[in-house]
Amino acid sequence: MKRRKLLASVGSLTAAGAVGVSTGAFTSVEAERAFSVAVADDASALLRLVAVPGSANSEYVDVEDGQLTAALSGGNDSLLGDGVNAGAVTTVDDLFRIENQGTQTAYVWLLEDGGRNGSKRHAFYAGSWHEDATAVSIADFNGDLDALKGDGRQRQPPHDAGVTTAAVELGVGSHVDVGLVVDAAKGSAGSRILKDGQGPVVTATAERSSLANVLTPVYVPHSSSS
Amino acid sequence: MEPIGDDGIDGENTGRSSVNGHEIKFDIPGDETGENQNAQGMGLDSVYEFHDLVTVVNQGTQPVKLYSTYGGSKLADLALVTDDGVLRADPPKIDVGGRIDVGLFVDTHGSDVGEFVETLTIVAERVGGNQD
Repeated sequence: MKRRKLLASVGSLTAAGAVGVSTGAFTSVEAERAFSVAVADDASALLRLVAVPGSANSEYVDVEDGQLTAALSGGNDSLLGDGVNAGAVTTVDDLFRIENQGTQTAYVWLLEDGGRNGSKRHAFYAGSWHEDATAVSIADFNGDLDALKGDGRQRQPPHDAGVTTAAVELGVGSHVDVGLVVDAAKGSAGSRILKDGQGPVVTATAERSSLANVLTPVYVPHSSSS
Repeated sequence: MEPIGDDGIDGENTGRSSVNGHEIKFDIPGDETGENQNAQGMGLDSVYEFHDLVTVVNQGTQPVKLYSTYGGSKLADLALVTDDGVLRADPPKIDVGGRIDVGLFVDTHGSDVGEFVETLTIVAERVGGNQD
């Protein structure tokens, strides 16, 4: 994984002010309205992304130009090795943290680009891989997540491991710590699981009813606002 | 015109939409107590949707189509949005006396960290366009 992207559908406010648009004798009206916006780095954003405090795996995570990045490759100067082992399943618990700094409960998951083959060899998960993991990433199968079966036919490593896939329910101030599993095939040494710049789209919505079937029932982490 | 009522934290107003004089204005993050005080803004290279920030009411005599335009440079995109998507190619029709709840679609791809004041142009156009 290298650079992360973020797609957030944060906020579904229902109350509203009313803007009266009088159409009595006109063809069209163009009204210019001010929009004050702040753009923040990942650590300060409405959907916060940071390394997990105190995690032994924080060496894999860095911040570049305000954005969280992670690298398990020779390009990471903090590592002695050049990557994960071929012919092995490598797991990295507590790689990074997603925290809801919005104003209402959000349902979060990671959408993998690259289609079926691009996401076949890795996945992101919550919890400890060897104890209570729940997969939180899903492959973008032609943009039709509802066509995926809930039993994990996305063919990511969680499927072979019998791990359930779900979106994460994050209350205001709550967080989830996300890990990475990589299933590198024999003879794959020197190849890349993910190319530079290719990474998951962190996705969040306040509307539980909009979740694809493969992401439900949701996973509720034992996190707090600490 | 009234500010958002009680949809923020603990039922408080977020201030994401409010009235400035006689005009609606938008602020993300909001400046009221219902906003999350830990959040300083939207993330970089991200797409956010904030639904149902204002209600647009057609108080005229003809049905209109509602959409928006944005010509600024600080954001990749800024537009009105509803649960059915961005109001652009196929904008919704508002009948006489009808109303619609709209929010904001914001794309920060390529944006810098910072605070910006941009202009969103809200367009209400008679169904069928200019027939005069």
